[in-house]
Amino acid sequence: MILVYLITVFAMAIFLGFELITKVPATLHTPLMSGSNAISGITIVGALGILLTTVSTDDVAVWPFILAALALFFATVNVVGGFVVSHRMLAKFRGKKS
Amino acid sequence: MTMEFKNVLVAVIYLISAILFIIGIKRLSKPKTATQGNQIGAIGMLVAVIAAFIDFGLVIDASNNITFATSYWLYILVALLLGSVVGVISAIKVQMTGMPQMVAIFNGLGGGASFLVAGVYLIFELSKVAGMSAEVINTALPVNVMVATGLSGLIGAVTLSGSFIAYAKLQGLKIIPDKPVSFKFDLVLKLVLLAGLLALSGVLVVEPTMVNLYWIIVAGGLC
Repeated sequence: MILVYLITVFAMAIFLGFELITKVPATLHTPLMSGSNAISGITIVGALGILLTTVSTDDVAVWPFILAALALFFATVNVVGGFVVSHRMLAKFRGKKS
Repeated sequence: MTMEFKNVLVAVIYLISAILFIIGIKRLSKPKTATQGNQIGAIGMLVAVIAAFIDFGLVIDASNNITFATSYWLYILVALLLGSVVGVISAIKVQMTGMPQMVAIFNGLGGGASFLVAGVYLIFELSKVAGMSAEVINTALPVNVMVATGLSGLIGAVTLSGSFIAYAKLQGLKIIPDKPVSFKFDLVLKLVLLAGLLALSGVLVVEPTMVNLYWIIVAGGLC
């Protein structure tokens, strides 16, 4: 049953995403792509989840912990870099106009 | 604070973060509000990370004592800090003309993180129920979890390799030919590969213990 709920959310998200990005002027395509890519780094929450619970409490091998820390590192680069890069692009646009 | 209250609180904070993302993307799509939209998205992410720390980092027992879930705070904070520093530096240093390549790399790293998260989660959930009956294993790793795990592995791997190939093309690296590589039946081969990987994911859903299958799916996705 949970699977059906999850698919419901997924289906709604498809329509929401489609509605959000229709009729976007061409100049904004690149920063929009970059900004939404940064948001896709939400997997950072997943990485924090496994690092804070499963991986840390169990007395097990080191390498899954390293993999999970690597995942957190990658996701953080994705998120932080993505937002900063989008900000720089948008600042450039604004500079051109004025 | 009771455990129940914490769960509700966390769910509400996640909801706020999701709303911030939606408003952020909406504003990003109009020239006037685009910069603000990007900032709202970033705030949404910060809110989500705070929620994750409360959600997974704090444990509340029956007598309402709050304890930390992990003693590895240092490593987690170091990974967060290093990721932020690398992200900011590479985003600031990159030339305007190099931005699409940079975004491709960021995107690829996100995909890599995604399949690593799903893989490590699977390993640990399995280690908890190792040697127990199939019923216990299937309760620990129900169909919805396994569908999400399989898809994360597949999509994450495709994102990683696809993004790095996109990077190589944008950068004009010689290792990747400019023209699309095509040969007889290449579409057939791709479709067979995709169908095979989806079938393997299906098997993984039914038999979560076959953790090696997960890495085969990831490797196949990288192709």
